[in-house]
Amino acid sequence: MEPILQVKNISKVFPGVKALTDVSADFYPGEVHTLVGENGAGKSTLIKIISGVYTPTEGRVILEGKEMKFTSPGQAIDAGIAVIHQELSIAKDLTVAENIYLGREPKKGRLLDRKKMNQDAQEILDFMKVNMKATQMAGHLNAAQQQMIEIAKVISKNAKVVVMDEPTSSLSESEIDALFEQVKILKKKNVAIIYITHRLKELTQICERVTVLRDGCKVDTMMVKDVTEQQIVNSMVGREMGDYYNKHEHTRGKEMLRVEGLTRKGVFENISFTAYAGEIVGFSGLVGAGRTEVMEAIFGATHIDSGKIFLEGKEVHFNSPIDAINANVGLVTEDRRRTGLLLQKKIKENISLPSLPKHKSGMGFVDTKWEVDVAEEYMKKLRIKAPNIDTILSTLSGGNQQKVILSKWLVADSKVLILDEPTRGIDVNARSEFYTLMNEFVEAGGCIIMISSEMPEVLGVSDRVIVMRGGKISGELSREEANEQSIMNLASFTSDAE
Amino acid sequence: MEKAKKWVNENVVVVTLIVLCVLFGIGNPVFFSVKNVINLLSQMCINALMATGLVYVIILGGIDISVGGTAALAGVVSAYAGLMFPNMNSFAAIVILVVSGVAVGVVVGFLNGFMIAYLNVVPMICTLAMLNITRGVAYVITNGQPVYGLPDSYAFLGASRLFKTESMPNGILPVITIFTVIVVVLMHILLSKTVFGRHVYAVGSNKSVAHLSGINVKKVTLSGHIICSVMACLAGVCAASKIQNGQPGACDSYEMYAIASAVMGGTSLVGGSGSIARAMFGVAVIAVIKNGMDLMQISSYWQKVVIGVIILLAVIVDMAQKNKKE
Repeated sequence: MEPILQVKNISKVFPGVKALTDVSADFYPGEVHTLVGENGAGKSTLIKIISGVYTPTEGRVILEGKEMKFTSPGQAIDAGIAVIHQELSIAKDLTVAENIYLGREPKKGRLLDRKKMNQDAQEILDFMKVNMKATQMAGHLNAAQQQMIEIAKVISKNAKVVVMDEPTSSLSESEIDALFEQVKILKKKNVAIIYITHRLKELTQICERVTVLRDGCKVDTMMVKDVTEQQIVNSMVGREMGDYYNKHEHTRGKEMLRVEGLTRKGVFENISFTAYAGEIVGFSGLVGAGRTEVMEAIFGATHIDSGKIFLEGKEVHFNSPIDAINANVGLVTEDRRRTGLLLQKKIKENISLPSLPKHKSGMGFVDTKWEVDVAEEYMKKLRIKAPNIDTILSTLSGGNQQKVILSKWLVADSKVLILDEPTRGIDVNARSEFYTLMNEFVEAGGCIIMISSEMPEVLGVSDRVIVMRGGKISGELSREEANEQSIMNLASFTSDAE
Repeated sequence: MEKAKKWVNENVVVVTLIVLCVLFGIGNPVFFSVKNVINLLSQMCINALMATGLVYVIILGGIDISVGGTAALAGVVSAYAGLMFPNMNSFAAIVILVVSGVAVGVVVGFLNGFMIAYLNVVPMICTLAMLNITRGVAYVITNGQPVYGLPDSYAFLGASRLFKTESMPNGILPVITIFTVIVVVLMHILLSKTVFGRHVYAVGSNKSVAHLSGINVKKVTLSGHIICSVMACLAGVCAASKIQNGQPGACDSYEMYAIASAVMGGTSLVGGSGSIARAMFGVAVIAVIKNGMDLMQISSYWQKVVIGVIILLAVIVDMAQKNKKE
């Protein structure tokens, strides 16, 4: 079989950095070919060259035997290459159907054929088994649901080559299964799929071929059935790497956070649990189960209708985040670019932000010396890779951005840390470092509540797992009891569920 | 050469200022005379005060186009206040002017800020309406007539100069300039060095992040609007003091100059960035244009066109630089 897309000897040089060196790969129709590598390895640069965002400094892109010289993404799209980006580009004020057909709306004569547009869109959504109406406003949906729209977009375009950049990072297990069903159908249609993921487990589930990139070079292309996950990880980091969850045994300390009967009508109901010092409590459940909403309410960012919150045994009322922050609670949000960081500001300005009032000098002046000292301290402690503390956040990789956010809360003296999908979009190496930092935090007496939709992560890192389903807590599992099956049983709606 | 090019690209407004000074100097060498420079310093002040307030609001991601009307209202109110104390000395006059200005500013700013931050009214609409309301109220309470008959002490702030000499019998240093410098420097320090200032930048950069970092976004926004209106009112009372009467029609279109100054000085309209120091360069550009064209006796109708064109050019060039960076 001939490859439908080939990249040959691709090199890409930016001022000061060589992002890709002599990379070649073949992509076959009907096959999922995954690119793996650490952040900075060159995966996104390669994808951007394939999709017309960049032109290669050297090398060629060949589609269906013809050399392509894309000078814009539009040309790549017209040639049949569709990309599902990691950063969702959904127009919030348009409906689902309008988003799917944006720019290609079906027309009746010269007017928009809204009926056909909605019908066709609903067909695709039903086909994908996604519970969504084509007429819903896209802005009302959460990240996972918006990503479904992106996938529907690509399906409707009938592309020859589909690039999926970490499509599962916001999806729950059942939605991932639904996505993989779509991928299988695309395969049957002989579409070539270029897949990027940090979740190596997905390789065995869905892909045939994997190319490992490291430092801009291709290390190897292997058939998935011929290698183990460990071998792939080793290729990615260039050395032997053990179980990267770095799990240690923790001794449980005193009660840190206890919630009783937390309720917000229509969102979550009767949430009660306790979290102790020295432990990592995993919060599992399907996307939409209400975990993020519960945590935002606990943090004071949103209101609760009823229920009590106790911090170290004493009842507290968090009417706004400042109350939670003053009580030494920190929240690392699920979407770091949108709600976690001031992207246009410097590292030191981000790290100091919640703690500025506590370090005022004189008449409300910022203590700039403290700000510099503390930023340098944490850049070193957390091994944040950046030129210096004045570096602008948008230039950092996802993993380093996440470390800045963590620093922010450590500087704010957080004793209870709520982490919402903390390693989303972060590569293996950076994740491993993050887990180490999490362990250090709880070993020093802190308490972590971690929301995660990634099963291996939940199982690898948590001391116990609380599962939510449909806005309620459906059960709790100890580390021994927790496994994929037991968690899924509690997370999914079955016929015996209420 | 590369470094020089880079500096030019990042400081378009400074370059514009230098170029304009040279051009107007050639147009009429009187431009560079000591007398004219002092004139310039005095003419810049009203806009400088207004622009300073605008910088806060624009950094917050909003806008305030009511400042012209607010300034006129403050001028008129301070004139009425001045009339109540016909025997006041210069110092007392300044106190009365400032207090009236601050009072009007706090009221208008509170109304703007409350509607924008707590009732979620779109800033453009809210302040557009307030522009009409403040201007209207000024006309109503004066019946359309200027408020005159104020003692000379009232004009001390706006029109007097210190350090009278033989060659300069009117004095060298305009009091209004001293006043403006003090106020602007204080506001600059507030914005750039205090925790409150950081909060302003944070709210303008990303409201959600600011909220989740423990900042009271609504309160900061309200404060920003109060500051903006107070600054506009200080500008207004200075303007009234300058001509020794309160005019309901004063400061017409001043909101445009103030916003243009801030934007030319690099204050991005999407919020999150900007500085008062750089906005002052924008203020200088506009003052130089007006002054230079006056000296060259260009009609005021043409002046309006020229100012508009130059503002557009400076902003377009600035935007082009920003896009290139990304």
